[in-house]
Parts: sequence; structure tokens; C-alpha cells
Amino acid sequence: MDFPGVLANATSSQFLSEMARFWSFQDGSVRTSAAAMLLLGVSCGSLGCFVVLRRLSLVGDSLGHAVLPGVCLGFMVTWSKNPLWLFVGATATATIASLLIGTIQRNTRLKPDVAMGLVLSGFFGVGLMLLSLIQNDSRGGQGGLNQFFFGQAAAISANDLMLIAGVTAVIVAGVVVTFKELAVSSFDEGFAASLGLPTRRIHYFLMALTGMAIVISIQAVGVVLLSALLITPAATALLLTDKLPRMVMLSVLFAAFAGIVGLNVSSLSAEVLNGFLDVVLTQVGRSGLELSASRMSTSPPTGPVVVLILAMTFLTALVFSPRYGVATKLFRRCMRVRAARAGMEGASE
Amino acid sequence: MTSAGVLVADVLLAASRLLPSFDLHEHVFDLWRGAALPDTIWTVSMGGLVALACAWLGCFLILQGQALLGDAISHTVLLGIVVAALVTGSVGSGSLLLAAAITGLLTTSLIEAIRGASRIKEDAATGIVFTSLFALGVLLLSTLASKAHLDPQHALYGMLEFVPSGEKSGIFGFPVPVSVLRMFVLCLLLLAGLVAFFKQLLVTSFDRQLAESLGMRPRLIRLLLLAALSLTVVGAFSSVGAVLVVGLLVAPPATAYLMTDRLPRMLAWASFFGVASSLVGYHVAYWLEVTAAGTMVAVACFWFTLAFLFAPREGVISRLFRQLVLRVRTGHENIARLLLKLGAIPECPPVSLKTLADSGDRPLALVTTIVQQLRWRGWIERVEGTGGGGVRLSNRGLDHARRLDRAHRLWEAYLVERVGIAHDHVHPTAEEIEHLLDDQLVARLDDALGHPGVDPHGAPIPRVPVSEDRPTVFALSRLQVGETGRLVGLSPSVDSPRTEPQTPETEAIIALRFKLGERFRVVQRDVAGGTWTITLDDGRRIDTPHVLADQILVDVEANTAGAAG
Repeated sequence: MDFPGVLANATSSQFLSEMARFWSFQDGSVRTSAAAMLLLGVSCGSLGCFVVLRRLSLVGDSLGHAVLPGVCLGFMVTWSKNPLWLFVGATATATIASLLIGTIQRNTRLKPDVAMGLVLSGFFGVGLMLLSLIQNDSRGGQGGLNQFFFGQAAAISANDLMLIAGVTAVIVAGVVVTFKELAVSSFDEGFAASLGLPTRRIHYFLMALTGMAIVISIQAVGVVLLSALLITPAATALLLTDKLPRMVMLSVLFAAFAGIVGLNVSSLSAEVLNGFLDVVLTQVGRSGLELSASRMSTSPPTGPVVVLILAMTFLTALVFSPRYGVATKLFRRCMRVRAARAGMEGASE
Repeated sequence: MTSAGVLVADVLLAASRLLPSFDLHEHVFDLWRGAALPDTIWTVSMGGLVALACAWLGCFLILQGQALLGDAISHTVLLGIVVAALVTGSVGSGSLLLAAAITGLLTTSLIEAIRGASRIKEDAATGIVFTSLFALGVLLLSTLASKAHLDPQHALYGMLEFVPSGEKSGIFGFPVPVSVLRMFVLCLLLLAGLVAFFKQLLVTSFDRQLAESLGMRPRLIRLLLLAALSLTVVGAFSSVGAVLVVGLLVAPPATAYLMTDRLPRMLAWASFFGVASSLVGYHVAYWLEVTAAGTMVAVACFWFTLAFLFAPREGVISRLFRQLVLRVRTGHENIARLLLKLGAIPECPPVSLKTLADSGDRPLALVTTIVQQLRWRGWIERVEGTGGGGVRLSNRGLDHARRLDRAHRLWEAYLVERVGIAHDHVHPTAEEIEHLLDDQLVARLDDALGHPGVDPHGAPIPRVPVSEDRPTVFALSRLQVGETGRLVGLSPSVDSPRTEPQTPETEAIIALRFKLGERFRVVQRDVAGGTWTITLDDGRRIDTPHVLADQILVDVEANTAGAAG
């Protein structure tokens, strides 16, 4: 379907102009948010590889939820969204959360997933309580903390960007310097320990870096879907290659791609998106669904859009990956069957 | 560092200024009377019913290691509800059933498909599936907000407060909110399922292979569990929201798991904590004017914190306390045994605290404290005399000290004889384990070693008399070669692990033709062969099997008081 073609002319030209404005990067705020998405792609994409290889996917999810009370407390310091205080608060609660997860695991017979589920929901519950306290207060009502649920990348300010850049630099430096240790211990913790590597310390180092990456991502993708930015690009990369450096590179690429395209989609105005929706709905509408009343009132939040784009890249890789793709494997089996049949025919002649 | 402290204090102060003052009447009692009553009842019972259903399912999820699935389904349910609302155009019961089916099937089959088709592990597969489906749900919802009567944030933390104002239907003339009714029916169904399949659920949760081999079809059970989970999450969704359902699925069962080892009790505790979270959460939320569902989950996690610290067996503080008690006991027992070693026993000269401290290499202050505590316990008596007097064991203390000494030496004998450790290496472990062995274990050790008279270092092992009021009466098996005594009785219940009366052997004793009061001498002990040989005064020589020797009571009073002391 040629969407712009079927769009009403007015919407179509608006769509084109909005796209042009985004991709020319003339707008300062677009430049800021795009740069931020790129940096987040670098930090989350690279750390995600180790998180996925170590089967710690739930950690991203629980730390992601655990920053909410920190963000609220950080907001309460100045009663404004001061990036530094939000960062401090978020880092503090993320640290406490990861320490708590470790404490629960060491001192009870509860499995790790239960410990993380507990911390995740407990912190989120407290976060919601704080949030409603803030919203009840005259100073906090218009604070706009709600956008931390699903993210609003367009709201990233120049100050935020400085912070993101600084933290990303720390993360990249950390990953580069300890790459060998991280790699060995991610594939085989026992082997790493037998080499004399401090596996426990490496684990906590990775946790700390992941916590930082999560904290700088909340503004862009929100606390609820944060874990996808860590897991999905890395898992996609894992489908495409066996080499860790290449996996990290691909993962960063996917994360940054999804981030910027997601930013683009969520920066489109509601009219343009509604135009698209109309097209889709008139197509599907024939199958008896009465949806025509549906309308977006505002642009969608960034988080879900980015996550869906990531999901699409993952799905594509799952099906078409040159080595491990479902379709590729099927195709190869067909070829083999054909070759075998040809061989049999050749033999029977 | 100080500025950080000041900052934390500032933030906490700012937060505390936001807290309204708590008034028991206004925030608790008044909610249960008059016009506020219906609201309170419906909100609390909705929260309680959701918590109950989640608690029951959560117990099995936790035991089967499936907590992550609960997390996933509680997120993906949003998509299910939105799609169902799209297809049926309503948010009624039928549409919710459809939503549950979509959610459960879609989530699990996608996770399985990804795992099956690639090398992505379960945790990452689950993470990818639920974030993607949730994102899709949020986006659909933001385009359909007007139709589904939901908005994305509502989906995150629910609206427990709106339960009383929701659509109602009349039951026996009372208007009951439909959502509460729905959840009530679901809880009844779950309860029925729980009772009907309890055995299957129990076995499947703890030992899948056993369940399989018993023909219990664990796959079917898990499928049923999944269906129940989807239904519960859908029913709970509008009131508690996605993320908080996870809290109710995980927190009360995890708390219960710290309280008990038994599944029925775990279910009961989880229900208790769930309902208590609803009740307390509601009042706290009303007091702070904050979200009810969020508070409920925070309270549930608060119960967990309490259990984590104070649960009788698993609690961190409880364990520390037990360690402390053990340490104190060890200190007490060490001093008692030291006194025994120094010969400060009843009727003997006491030792001064200084000597006690020096010979045990302990600080005098510590020894003084312990001695004081032991005097309170009646283990030690103070004797005035020349040079400031001193302390010695009381009869009670002597008994304890002997038991310890016995455990210590028997353990050493066991390590040397049965484990084959060199005799100069066994002291340190015996020093620790003497405090941990109970009487029954010591009796078993003694029996297994053939009731030895001396330890590997050649020191005598104290014997324990049959009863405290007859200190010279022992079982025949406890006597060493050369000892003499008088036969005084027969008891199947001597302090020995083999206490069951054994009729054939009792007959055998009669066959030995002992006479009460007859004197004898032990001439041979064949521990490996299990035979004790004695000669009677009239020259008869009798072989007694070990089991029998454990049951024959003898009095050694007429001779040297034995190896005791």
C-alpha cells in the first residue's frame, strides 16, 4: 500500500514537511533528542549484550521500575525536573534495589526471579505513592513526571543531553577497558573464576554500568519498557553473529536505529498519524470492525514506539537471519532435499 | 559525605511535610461507618479478592520457578483487553474472557516459539515478548482511549478507588459492583480447582518427574494454571493494573514461603498477607491520599520485609539471634567443662576466677560474667574460703559438664576409629561439635562405637547413669573389661537408641538364668563381634550380645566408682 498516496493531500504534504524537518536536523530540539537516542543506543546496546548472555534480562526490568521512587524524590529536592537531582535520586534507588536483590538472594531460599519481582513491584508501588503525593501538592501538579512512565524523547533538554553524554562516556570507557573480563565471565563464569578473574566484582561492575544506562534512559523510553532497550537489540544481534565484538556493534546499531526512527515517529503530529490510522482503518474496516471513531489526541509516547520498532527488527532477524533464521533454515532444508533428490535421480540413471 | 546526609535529611523532611497527620478515628474507624461504609467494603473486598486469587496462584508460580511468567502475563494482558474491546466493542465479562484467552495463549506461544526457533534463552525471550506486546497495547490504547474506557497510565497502576462507583448489579436486593462479583466468582472457581487438584498441584510443583510417572499429566496441570493466571490477571487488571499484579503474585507467596515449609500452610499465610495488604493498604492510602493499588503492593512488600527480618526460622534477625544464643551457650559450656577438667566438682576444692581465666586463656572480665550467669543457672556454686574462695560446679553443672565431655570424647573416638583421622587432629572439630550434639545423637555415637571407656588420647569417657537418682546404675554394655558389679534389673528403655522391647531377646535373658543381685566380672568385650563376656561368682561364663548388654542394668557401687569422673 502506498500510504502517502492514499492520504488526503493536506495530510500528505504535512507528513512530507514534518519528515523533512526531522531528517534535516535543522531544529535544535530534534538534534538534541536524536543525539540523545544515539548515545542511549550506544550504552544500552553494548551493555545489553552482556546482560542477555548472562541471562539477567529481568535485572533490567526490575532496576527500570526501581528508579521511579528515586525520580520522584529527586524531583522533590527542587520541585522541578532538574536533570542532576533526578539522576542522583534514580541512581540511589537503583543501587539500593540491586543491593536488595542481592541481599534477598543470599539470605533466603527464594529464586532470583522472585527476588527481582519483589523489588520491582515494591519499588514501583512506593514510586506510585510518591507520585500521587507530588501530584496532590500544589507545586508538583504540573511537574509532568507522568512522562517517565512511557518516555518522551522530545522533552530531552540540552542539560539532559550533557548528562547522557557524560554517563555514556563512562559506560563506553568501562566496557572497552574491561571488555576481555566481561566477555570471558559472560560466556563461562566458572572458567573466568578459574583464571583468577574476580567474577563477583565483574558482576557488580556490570550491574553498576547497567544501572547508569537505565537511569539515563528513563526520560527517553520510560521506566516500564526500559528493559526492551537492553534486551531486544542484543537478542537480535545474537541471532546474527557468533562473535562478541560484532554482536556488540550490531546491538548498538539496532538500538540507535530504533531510537532515532522511534523518535521520528513519535515526533510526527497527531494529524499525520491520524491520517495514517484512517488509511489503515478503512482497509481493515471492511472486515467489520467499527473503529472509525478512533483518534489520537497527541503524539504517541516514545517508549512504546521504540520498543515496537525493536520488536520488528527482532522478528525480521528471527525469520531471515543468514545463519539461524527460521526461513533460512527452511530454505536450506529445501535445497538439501532437492539436492538429495537430484543425486538420487543421477544415481538411478 | 555530610552534605549528602543533609540532602537526604532534607528530602525526607520535604517528604514528611507532605504527609498529613494520622488520626485513628478519621482514617480508620470513620471509614467503617455511615456513608463511607459501602465504598470501604467494596474497595477492600475487591483488593482482598484480587490479592487472594493472586496469592494462591503465586504460591505455585514461585514453587515452579515461573514468577517471570506472571510478570509477562500481567503486562501482555493490556493487549488482550484492548484487542477484546476492539472486537466485541465492550469491556463486559465476555470480552474479558476473550482477553484472558488471547493473553495467555499469545504470550506463552510466542515465548515458546522464540525459544524453539533460536538460541535466545527463556528470560530474554520473555522480556522481548512482554515488552513488545505491552508496547503494542499502549499504542493501540492511546488511539482508542475513548472506546476502551482506559488510558495507558490507568493500565499501569489501576484504579482501585473507582471500584465502588463502577457498574452495579443487584444481588438479593443489594447493589454489588460487577467487578467485585466477577472477582468473587473467579475466587470460588479457583478455590474449587485448588481443592479438586490439590494433590496434582502439590506433586507437580515439587517433583515434575514424579508427577509424570504417577500419570498426573503435569502439562495439563500447568496449562490449567496458566488459564487461571490469565483469568485472574484480566479480572484484576482494571483495579490493580499491570505492574502491581506482579507484586500481588510475588510478594504474599514469597512472604509465606519464608514462614513455612508446608504447602497448605504456605497457601494460608499467603492468603493472610494478601488480605492484610488490601486492608492496611486501603487505610494507608486514604490517610496519605495516594494511589490505593500502589499502597497495597507497598504494604505487601512491607510484610515481606518483616518476614525477611523476623520469620521464625528463615528471618535474618532470627538467625542472628539464634547464633547469638548458641555463642552464649558455647561460652557457658566451655567454662563448665573447664571446671570439670580442673577438678572443681562438688565436694572438691574450688578454683579461683583468676586460675579459671588463665587456664582457659580468656579475659578475666569475660570469665567473671560467664560465672555470674552460670550461678544464676545453678551450674556453679561459690565457695568461701582462704584466699578469697572460688567456684566449683554444682551437681547440676557437673551433669552438664560430663555430658559435654562425653560428647567431645566420643566424637574424637568416632573420627579416629571410623573416619580414620589422626588422633592429634581431632580436637578442634570436637571442640565445636560438642555444643551441637544432642543426647540422642551422643547415645547413637556411643552405641556405634561399642561404648568405649577411653577416648583416643587415653582419657576416660564419662558414663551417664540410667537415671539421676541412681548414679551407680549403668547398662552392662557400658562396663569395661575387669569391672565388677551386681545385676539389678532389666530394662528395655535404657538410655540407648535401640529401645524397642524385643521379645526374643527378653526370653534369651531369662534363658541366661541371671539372678537379681548376682555378682559378676566383665572378662572380655568383643565390640566388632558384638559380644560381652562376663563370669559370675559361681564360675559360669556367659556371652551376652550387645543388644542384650544394653538392656541389662548393673550396679557398680560396691567397687571403684568406675571410670566416671
